[in-house]
Amino acid sequence: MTTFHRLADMVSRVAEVPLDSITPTSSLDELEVDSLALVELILRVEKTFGISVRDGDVQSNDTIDGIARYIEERLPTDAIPDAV
Amino acid sequence: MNARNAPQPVAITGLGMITPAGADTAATWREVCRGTATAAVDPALADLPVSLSCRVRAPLERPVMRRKGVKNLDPVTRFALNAADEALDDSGLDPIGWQPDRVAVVTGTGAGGSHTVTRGHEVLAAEGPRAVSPYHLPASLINMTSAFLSLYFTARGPSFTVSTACASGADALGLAQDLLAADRCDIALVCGAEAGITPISVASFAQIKALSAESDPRLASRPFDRDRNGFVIAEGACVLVLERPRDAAARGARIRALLLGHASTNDAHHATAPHPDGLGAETALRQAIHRAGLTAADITHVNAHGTSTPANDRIEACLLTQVLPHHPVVTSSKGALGHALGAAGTIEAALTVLALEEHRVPPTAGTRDLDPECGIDLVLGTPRAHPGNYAVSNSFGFGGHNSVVVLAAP
Repeated sequence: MTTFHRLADMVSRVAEVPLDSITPTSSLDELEVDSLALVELILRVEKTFGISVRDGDVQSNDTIDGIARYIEERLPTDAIPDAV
Repeated sequence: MNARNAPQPVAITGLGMITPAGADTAATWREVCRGTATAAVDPALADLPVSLSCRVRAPLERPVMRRKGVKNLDPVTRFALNAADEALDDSGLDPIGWQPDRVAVVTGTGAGGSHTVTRGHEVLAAEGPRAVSPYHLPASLINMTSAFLSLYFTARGPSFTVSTACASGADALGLAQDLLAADRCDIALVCGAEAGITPISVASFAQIKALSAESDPRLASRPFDRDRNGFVIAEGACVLVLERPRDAAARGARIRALLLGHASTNDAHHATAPHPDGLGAETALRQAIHRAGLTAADITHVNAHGTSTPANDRIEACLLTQVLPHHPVVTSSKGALGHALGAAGTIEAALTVLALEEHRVPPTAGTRDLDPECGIDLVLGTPRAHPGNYAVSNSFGFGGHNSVVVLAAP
């Protein structure tokens, strides 16, 4: 599963929106990810991908695709095969 | 005190509940009337000195439970939402059509989001502060049950939580009656909610010998029994919809019962023990009857606090025989449902409404031999046909809180 798909699945669960409503260009705002859900999403991203997200790096106007690229840039090299 | 200054009666137009006996009011009433003891061995309490509890087993299936964000809430608020959805349905009120600024919410709860607090401590200890859930505060703070009732049902009037331990639910009813009398709202959703069956809570109650040490779950909660030895911890929620009688009549609502009066007092005596002579409880009972515009002789049915602890039941029975010497019919719902702490006051008030409606008083489950020291007319075995129009429901709590509500057939 690609990083995008894994992230989209996570956003779908956190924001309680249907998975098929999430496109690469959807922003978190458009998906009604509120301030609490944004923190929850970042917690899950950190846990799932084994990365550390700095405060302010992921914001509500970011797109799913943009966040997916941010995650991939920070993946430990030995984790990349899983993310492809 | 002058009874002429007492608040006007308010109409109870909707009931909703979720309890260890069932998912709604009808299921709970059926099992309470059958005298079903819901206590059971609780695997989550297996390592503790006491491992009995009365858990809510029914799934929470009211429509509000499918709303966004509900999954992030503590069970205490989830119980409350489920019960409120039923109560509003029962009342015929629809949040789409009401004036939101004139709808109040008053919740009574003892502990707030206990499960969330427990989980939060575990996560903090095991994974550190960066792993703490963003939903920890909204799920755990004691005000949040009222806040989410306001949010999900668009109630923009006063939204309060009253916390007086096991008297919380009854005090919520009293406070709501006062808000209606003061014209601070036209509708009040009154909630009692508790979800406090956690290891720390059970261990704490066990340490101070408040819980029944009985091994047979059917006999553990046995209010006013000669062999009673403590209460069984329970959970659940109950919501009552209150309105002024003229407003309820104007919209053609069914008035299920009237809340005539209420009184709250404090023993100012001890942290957990009731006053040995029931001083504060007696004052609350006398004041509530007076504020209802009644005299003691009018009261023919009592839903007792009746926790099944040796001290409470002895003192309460003595109080009843003193203040109500004409031997009204007494029942304790805790034999069936256990003690739902802050939720108990609203659950028991609602059951009293049903008793007034159906002219029958449910039995006290669990109790076999009435303590001869408790000279009360306790209903045992099967429901008692009872035509009376006026009833009281007693609620007493740790901290010396005493709260009594007076209810009447419409």
